[in-house]
Amino acid sequence: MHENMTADTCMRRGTGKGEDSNRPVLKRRGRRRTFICLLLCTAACAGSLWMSGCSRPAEKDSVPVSGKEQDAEGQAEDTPKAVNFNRELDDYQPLKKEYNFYLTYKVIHPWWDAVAIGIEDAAKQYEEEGVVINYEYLAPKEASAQDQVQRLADAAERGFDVIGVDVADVDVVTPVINGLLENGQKVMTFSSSDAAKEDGCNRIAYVGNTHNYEDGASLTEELCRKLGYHGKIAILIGTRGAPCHEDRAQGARDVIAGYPDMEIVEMAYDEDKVEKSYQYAKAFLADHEDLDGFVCCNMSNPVGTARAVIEAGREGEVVIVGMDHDQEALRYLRDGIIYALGVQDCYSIGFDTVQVAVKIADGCAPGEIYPEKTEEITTIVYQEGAAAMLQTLYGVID
Amino acid sequence: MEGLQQTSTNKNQKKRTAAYAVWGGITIALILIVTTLWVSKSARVGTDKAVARVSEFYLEELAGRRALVVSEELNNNFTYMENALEVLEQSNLASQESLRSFLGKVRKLYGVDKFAMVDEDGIVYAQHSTMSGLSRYSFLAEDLTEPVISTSNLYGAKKRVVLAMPVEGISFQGKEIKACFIQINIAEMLSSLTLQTSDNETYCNLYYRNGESLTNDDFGYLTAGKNVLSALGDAAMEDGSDYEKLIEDFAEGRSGQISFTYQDTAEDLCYVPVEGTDWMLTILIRNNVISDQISSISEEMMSNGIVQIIITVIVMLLVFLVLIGQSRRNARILLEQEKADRNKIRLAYAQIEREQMDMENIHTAMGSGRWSMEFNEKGEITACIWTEVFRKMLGYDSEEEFPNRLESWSDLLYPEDKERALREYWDTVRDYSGRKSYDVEYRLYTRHAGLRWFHAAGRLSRREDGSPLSFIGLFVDIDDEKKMEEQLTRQKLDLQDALAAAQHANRAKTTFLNNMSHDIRTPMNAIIGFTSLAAAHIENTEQVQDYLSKITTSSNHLLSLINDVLDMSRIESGKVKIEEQETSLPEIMHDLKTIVQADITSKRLEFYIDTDDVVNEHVLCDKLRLNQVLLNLLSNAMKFTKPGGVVGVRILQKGNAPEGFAAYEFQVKDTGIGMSKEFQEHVFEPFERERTSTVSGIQGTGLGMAITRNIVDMMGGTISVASEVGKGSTFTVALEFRTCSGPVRQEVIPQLKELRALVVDDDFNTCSSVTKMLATIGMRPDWTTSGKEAVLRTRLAVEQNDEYAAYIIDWLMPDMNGIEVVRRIRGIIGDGKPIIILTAYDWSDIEEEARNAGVTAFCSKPIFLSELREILEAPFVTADVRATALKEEISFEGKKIFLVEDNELNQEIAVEILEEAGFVIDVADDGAVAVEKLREAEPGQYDLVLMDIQMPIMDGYEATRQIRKFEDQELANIPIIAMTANAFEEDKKAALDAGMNGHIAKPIDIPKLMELLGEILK
Repeated sequence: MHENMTADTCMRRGTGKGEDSNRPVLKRRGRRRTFICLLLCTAACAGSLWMSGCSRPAEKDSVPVSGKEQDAEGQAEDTPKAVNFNRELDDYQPLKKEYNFYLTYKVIHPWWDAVAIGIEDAAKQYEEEGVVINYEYLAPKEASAQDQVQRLADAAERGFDVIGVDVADVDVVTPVINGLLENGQKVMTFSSSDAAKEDGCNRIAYVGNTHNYEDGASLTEELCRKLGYHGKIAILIGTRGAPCHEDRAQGARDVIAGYPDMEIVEMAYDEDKVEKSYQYAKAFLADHEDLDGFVCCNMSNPVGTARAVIEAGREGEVVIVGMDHDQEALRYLRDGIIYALGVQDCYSIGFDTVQVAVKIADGCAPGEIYPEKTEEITTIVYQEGAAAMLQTLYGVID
Repeated sequence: MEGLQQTSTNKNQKKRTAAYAVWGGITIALILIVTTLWVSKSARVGTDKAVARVSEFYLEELAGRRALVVSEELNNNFTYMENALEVLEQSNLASQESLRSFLGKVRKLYGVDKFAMVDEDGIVYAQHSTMSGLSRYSFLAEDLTEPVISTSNLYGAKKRVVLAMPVEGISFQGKEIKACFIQINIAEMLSSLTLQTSDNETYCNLYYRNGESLTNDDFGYLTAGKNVLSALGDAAMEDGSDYEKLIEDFAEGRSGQISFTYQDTAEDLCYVPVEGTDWMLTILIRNNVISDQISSISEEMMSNGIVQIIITVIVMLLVFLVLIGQSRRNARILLEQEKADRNKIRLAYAQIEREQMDMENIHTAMGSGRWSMEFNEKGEITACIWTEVFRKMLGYDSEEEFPNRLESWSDLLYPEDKERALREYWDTVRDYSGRKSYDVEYRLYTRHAGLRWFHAAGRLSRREDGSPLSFIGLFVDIDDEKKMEEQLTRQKLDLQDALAAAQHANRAKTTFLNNMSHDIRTPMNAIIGFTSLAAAHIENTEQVQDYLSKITTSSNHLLSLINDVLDMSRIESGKVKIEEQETSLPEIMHDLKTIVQADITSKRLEFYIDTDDVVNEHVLCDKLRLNQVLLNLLSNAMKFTKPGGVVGVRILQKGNAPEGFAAYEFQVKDTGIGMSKEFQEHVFEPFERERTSTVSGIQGTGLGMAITRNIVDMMGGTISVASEVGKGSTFTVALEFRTCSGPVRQEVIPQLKELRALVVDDDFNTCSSVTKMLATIGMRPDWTTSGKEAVLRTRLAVEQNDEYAAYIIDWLMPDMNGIEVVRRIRGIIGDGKPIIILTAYDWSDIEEEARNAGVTAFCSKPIFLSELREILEAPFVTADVRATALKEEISFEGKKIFLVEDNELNQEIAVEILEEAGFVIDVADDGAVAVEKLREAEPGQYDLVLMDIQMPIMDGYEATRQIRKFEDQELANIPIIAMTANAFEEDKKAALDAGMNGHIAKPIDIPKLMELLGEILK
């Protein structure tokens, strides 16, 4: 059905037949723009003054590695952009006053809680506009593709406007998604793991990280550079079959393979759990006294690894690179235990997921109104940018 | 030459003046500037200290209040959750939609960020969402047993506080709801607390105990997220502030305040713990907020002040110079004016002196003395002037004799008037409103004319603030007028008293006449009415007898009324005199008993009469009046007591009389109808009778008690009454008599010493009284109120071989008749011991039965010590110690009476009565006739003369006196009895004084007449 919807029926805010009724919205948008312009001017003036004599020496805080907002200029200025909490709804005017979404993800984990915050804020902004977004955002305690399949089947029977899924296992879940689509359900993927067209999946759209492989590769590249392209490496992957984890690990493997003096001595699936990753890291450090670094492919394993390195008394000696924004991991980054972290903009993932779902529910097909893949950025953060990141994400500096 | 010199001198003078003015102005200006600077500096130092103190206080207050607000906000949210759970119904749990609707309503109602429920799997149900919460909400990591305050996963700029509480007994879609929670945006919660504005330097924030911020806001120079404790480690602490203490305070959740310099800015930080959390609320204020403003204000004020001073000095100089010039011009004009004014003043003074002289002359002529006083601002007298006229009025010639002081006058004030006169004086002086005027009359001791009345009046002139300036007044001798006025007042009062007395007498007369009219007409109506009826039914003897009986009753009542009225009248007119004579109290009491005996019996009343502690039995008193008092009281008691009731008389001797006197209390008690409280207050007033249905049927004049009270008053005693409606009354007469002999012999009777005696009487008081008497004469008395017990005791005494030597037993006892008791005791003890029956009644009817039962003697109540002694001292004679002599029946048959009576009707009545009794009557209608007739009579021709008193030619007294003078002694000693309407005691006395042998009052009481005749003729 959704393919039959045209751009005429899916209008942007302030256009088409809803123009008159949406005038107040336009005015508010106008005022907001004016305010932002003024703010920017003020910031520019302040910045000019600062640049003219008050700026600090340039430091290496963070590097956006991928995503649509990627911007290599001014690393210090980019730091807050790693996660954009000041998101506002786009101009699209929903056709209905109430939507019901079912969103399921791989496993209950703080990373998806960050996504949930973006979902909540988007729903709240819609509510302020008079549009109610009802949603279920559920996951199993242990990652399980079978569980996800069951959840999708149950959701299909309950008649949601859109079903969103963070794919636990592409091979297992793709047929189910396609089946739902054939039965008239509107299904999208989101957050970290997509099942794309090339995987044979017909899902309508995807919102989230589209560059897991690059993330893994970039972090590993930084590790190699730090080690002078010489040393033994262990890779902690995460959940077996989870596309994001596997892609990052693959990216890591590929980079290391490119340097002859670099060697992968250990690889393990820690199931995205701190305790397991700690145990693995501890064992690897014991088994390989000459181990030089770790590539951590999920949010939990940088924490577990850092704990093990500290316990082994090899902080500063063993280089750790990893993913995501765990507060403890950021503290380790700040304290120099971890060398670099790839921080994804989870908030925007959640925020955009809701926006895209609304459009899908209204029957809009990907294209002009929204892309088939909405990419969210990952930013590599170093020790210098850790405090700012801590402040941005958790309101904590030290 | 001299003129030039003068001009030169003037110029120099001017220059000097100008120079003085300029230098003076400069000096003043410098002084003002220096002092202004000094004052400003001092003020600033003081202000800084004050600001510091105020800031400290302000910060503490501010932080405390905000912490309280946060704490209350948290508590309120817990209350919201409790309220929500209370109103949650099963229907709200029917589906996800209904639950969401409920959660939405609650969220909207309480305006919270989120209100949600969590099931056993950690699924969080909110208004628009259902989500997994296990990793997000830390409180779900463990079983929730009590309310918790936590922060959710802190990801994101907007930090949130979660208030969660456990839930029980609620299921949703097969899962148990384990918890509910409210999520609050901290920034929003704090937005109402913070003071931070664009140009304000005051901040508010929340921190954990480890210094970590709960918010994402800047806190002064601390950027958002900075740990406050680690940041302040770099700050320079002020004196009195300690960084270590700050750490400790945070760790232990204590309040405190520190001052420090952080990033070159002096700041004060106040921190207080938030109750119920591990948070610290902090308030930061920058010192320069206030001090900079104060400094700028101070500096501005200082510079303005200096400019102002310079301008002022310049202006002052200019004004000063202008004034100098002007004053010189004025001085010349004033000099000329002064000359002219001096002449005018001289003339005015002369005029005033003349007028004063005239005034003095007027005062002298009028006899009024002037005085004046002056006061300072405090109202104190600074000058006091008494004029010569004033002094002379008081008899003083000079100031030496009567100095110009207030005390000269006040010391002469008559003591009674002194306080008033001085109060008037000072009240006038101190009345700053000026409304009070001084106008007072008082007496003064003059030097030669003694105490005299004066009238003083004066007026005050006052200052603007009302304080007195001068006081001037006149003083006039009003003694003659005053005395005249007093005389008039006295006369007026006398007249008023006389008028009141006359009015009272008039009212009394009217009242008396009204009462008398009513009280006389009532029985008269009966007499006349029944007389008419008797005449109409003369043939019906029985009916006539009934009428005559009623006529007799009414006549008796009428007679008693007349007696009472006359008694009252005589008492009130002072004609009644108390005549003391030797009187035997036992005799009075026995007579009293004898008199009332018949009425007691006829009314079927119980009667007791007894004594208590009477040791003086013979006293000097007016026996007749005492009898009258007791009879009145007893008559009253009998009158108002129904058959079967009890009437009693008791005489008690009190031990509080002075030597030579004895004090007695006569109690007359009844169990009659009693009196109301209201009536008790009027019972002794004339013509007072209680108007109740119970009393209305009982005849009485209403004078008895008034007469009684008057007699008691005349005897120097008191009378009182205690009464209760329906229960009876007790009248108590307290009298004190002179004793005419010593106390009754109290020595022991040797024959009876240590012998036992038994007193048996159902009246405890009698037992007590007789027991005391027996003890007095040396016996060992026992007593009992029961006849049966008396028998038992007797048996016991015999068994113990300690028999009673005498028995004194009451006749009428409830459990066993006295005679029966005697009979039984005799059965035990045989005939040897005396048994005396004690009774208040006439025992003649039972005497024979009693003596057969074993009674030794009878003794009449009340028994006195002398009587008991007499009985017991006698060798237990079988004869009655008080054996009543058998009344000899005297026959009047053939006895000749000479009746002297001027009134034919009375003659007829007397003749009828006497002839009925068997007398032979001869009649004379005047005293003179009687004397002549008797003179010519043979000795023995007449046995007795009944003599009227008031007769036309010769009254009864004179006739008697003449008869007593007859030569024939038999004729001269013929018994003469006054039979007269002159019924008073003094009439009786007059009759006896005239030589008569007795007195019988009209109307004739036939039994009394017969008794008297019997006594005289026996």
